[in-house]
Amino acid sequence: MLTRLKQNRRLLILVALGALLLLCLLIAVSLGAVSISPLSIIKMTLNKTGLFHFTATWQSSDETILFLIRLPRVIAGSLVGAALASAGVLFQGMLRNPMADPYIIGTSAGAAFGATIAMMLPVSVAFLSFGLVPIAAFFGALGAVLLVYNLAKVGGKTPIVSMLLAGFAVSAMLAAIVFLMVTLSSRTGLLQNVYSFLMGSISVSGWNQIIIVAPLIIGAIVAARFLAFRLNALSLGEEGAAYLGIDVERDKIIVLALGSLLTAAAVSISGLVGFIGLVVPHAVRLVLGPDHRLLLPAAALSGAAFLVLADLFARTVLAPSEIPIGIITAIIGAPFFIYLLRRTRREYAF
Amino acid sequence: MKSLALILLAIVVTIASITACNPVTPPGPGAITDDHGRTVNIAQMPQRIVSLAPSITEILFALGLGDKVVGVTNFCDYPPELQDRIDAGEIQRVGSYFPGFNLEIIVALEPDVAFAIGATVPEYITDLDEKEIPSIVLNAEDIEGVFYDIELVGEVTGGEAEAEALNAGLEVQINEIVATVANASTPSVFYGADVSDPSVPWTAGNGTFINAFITMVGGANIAAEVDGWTTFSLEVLVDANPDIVVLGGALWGISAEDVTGHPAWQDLDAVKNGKVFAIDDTPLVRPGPRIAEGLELLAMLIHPELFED
Repeated sequence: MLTRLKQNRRLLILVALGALLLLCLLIAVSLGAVSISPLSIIKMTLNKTGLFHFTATWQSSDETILFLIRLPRVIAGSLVGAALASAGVLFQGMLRNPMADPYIIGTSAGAAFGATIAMMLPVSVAFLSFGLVPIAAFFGALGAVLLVYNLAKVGGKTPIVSMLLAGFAVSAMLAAIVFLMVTLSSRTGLLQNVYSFLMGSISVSGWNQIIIVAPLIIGAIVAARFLAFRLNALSLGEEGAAYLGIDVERDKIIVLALGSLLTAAAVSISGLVGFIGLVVPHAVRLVLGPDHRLLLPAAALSGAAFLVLADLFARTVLAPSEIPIGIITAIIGAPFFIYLLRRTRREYAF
Repeated sequence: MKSLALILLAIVVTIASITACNPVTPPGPGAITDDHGRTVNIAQMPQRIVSLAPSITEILFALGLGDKVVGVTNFCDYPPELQDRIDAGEIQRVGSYFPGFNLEIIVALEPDVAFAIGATVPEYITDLDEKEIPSIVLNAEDIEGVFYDIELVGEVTGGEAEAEALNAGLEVQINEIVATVANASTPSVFYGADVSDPSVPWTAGNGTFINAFITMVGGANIAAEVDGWTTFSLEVLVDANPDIVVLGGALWGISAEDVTGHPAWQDLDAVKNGKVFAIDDTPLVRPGPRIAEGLELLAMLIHPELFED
C-alpha cells in the first residue's frame, strides 16, 4: 500500500514536471529575436500537419525561422539540458562525490581538444551535414573518458579516487594542449571560436544533428532509469552495494558509459554548457530527495526545462546579438540554487 | 704644455673618428602627439623600427620604409617581400598581442621607435617606456583616421612626402569607387565575420570599418544596429533576408559552402541567387594602405554591374 502511494507520488511529480517542461517549450517557441504572433505560430504548425490549410498571413521567412531555426534550437536545448542533468546524476551517484559533474572525468577537456583540432583544420567539410566540430567534440569526449578509465584501472578494478585524479590530470593536460594550439596557431578567430565553445551555445543546423543526437540522448536516459536501483545501492558504498548482490565493477562501467555518452552527445551540439550538470541534480535532490528512481527522470525533465529557458534568455536579451548560454546558466542558476540551499531547513542528504 | 697638446689632439681625433664612423643621424621630428594623446619625443630620425600590428607593417612598407623595419608581429603577413626579409634575417618576429610580445627580443633589436595600435595591451606600452623605447600608438577609427595615421607614421619616420603621395592616391581611388556607386541601388548586405559555426554567425556592426565600408559602397548592412563585433541571431538574419552575403576568413578556409549547406541559410535570397562570397578580409579589417583595395573588392561584390570593365 505504501509503495503504491509512493509510486503514485512519483508519477504525479513526473507528470507535473513534464507539464512544466511543455510550458517552457511553448514559451520558448513563441518568443525569439524576431517576433511572430502566437496565432501565426499555431496556424503554421497546424498547416504542417497537412490537415489544415490556413492562408499565410505571415512572411515565408517566418516559417523558416520557426521550423528550421527556433524549434530545432528549443528541442536541442531541452535535449542538452536533459542529457547534462542526467549525466550529472549518474556521475554524482557513481562517484559518490557532490562536486561531480558530467565533465569531471575528462569529457569537457576531451571535447574541447577534439573541437579545437577540427576548428584549426583548413577544410570545412560537412560530414553527413553534421559539421566537423560536433563530431570531433563527440569523439574527443568519449576518447578522454576511455583514456581516464584505463589509466585509473588497477588490477581489474577502477577505484573512484584514481578515476577522479586521473580525470583531473587528463583534463588539465588536454586543456593545456588546447591553449597551446590556440597560442601557436596563426588562424585569426581561433581564440574566439574556442572561447565560444568553452562558454557553450546551442548550435544546430536545422534538424540534421537532432535526428542523430535525440535518439542517443533519449535512449541513454531511458537506459539510465533502469540503473536507479543500483545507484541507490551504490550510495551505501561499494562494499554495501556488493552485499546487495551488485556487480559493482560492471555497473560502474555501465554508468560511466551512459554518462559519458550523454555528455558527449550534449557537448557536440552545445559546447561546454557549465553549471547545469552539477547543480540541477543537487537542486532536484534538495526538493525531492535522493531516491534515484525519482531523481533521474525528475532531473532530466528539470534540466531540460531550465536549459530551454536559459537559451531563451541567451537568444533574446541582447537580440540581435546572442549571449553564450553558459553565462546565463550560472548567472540565473547560482542564485536560485543558493535560495534552495538556504530554504531547505533540514540537513542535505546527498 | 706638450702633453696638453697631445691630449687635445687625442680628443680631436676621437671626436673625428666617432663622427666618421657614425654618419650623422638627421634630427627627428621632436615632440609627437600620438592617437592616445601621449607626447613622445623623437629626437633623431628613426633608423630601426618595430611594428606591433599588421596594419602598421603594411603602412611602413607602403611608405618605402621596409628596410628600416627590424621587428614585426607573428600576424604580419603583408606585403610579400616581408617574408623575404624575415627569411634573410633582416626582420625578426617579436610575438603578438596574444599570447604576448617578447620584450627581450624587442629590446635586443634596439629600435629607435615602436608603433603600436589602440588594441595593444597598455602594459606593453609601459614596458617600452621603461626601456626608453619611444612608442607611438595609432588608433584609427575611420578612414579619415587611417589617412591621419599614415601621415603620423610619415612624420615620425621622415617619410612625409611618401605619406602625402600615398594618401593622395588612396583618396583618388576611394573617391572613384564612391562616385561609381553614387546613384546605384542599396542592396542589403550581411557580413559574416566568422561563420565557422553557421548557426551562430559573427558579424561586424556599428563602429567597425566593415560597416563603414559597406555603407560607403552603397550597401545596407543588416547588422548596422548592433555595436562592434558580435554574434548575430540567425532568426534576424533570415528575417532580414539580405541580397548579398560576404564572408570573411577565406584565408583560413571559409567558403560559401559553409553556409549554403545550412537548412535555414538556404532560404536566403543571397544563397538562392548565388550571391554568397568568401573573401580574404584582411584589407577590410586592417586600417592600412590597402583600404581602397578592400573597398573596391566590396563594391565589386555589391554592385558587380558597375564594375564590369
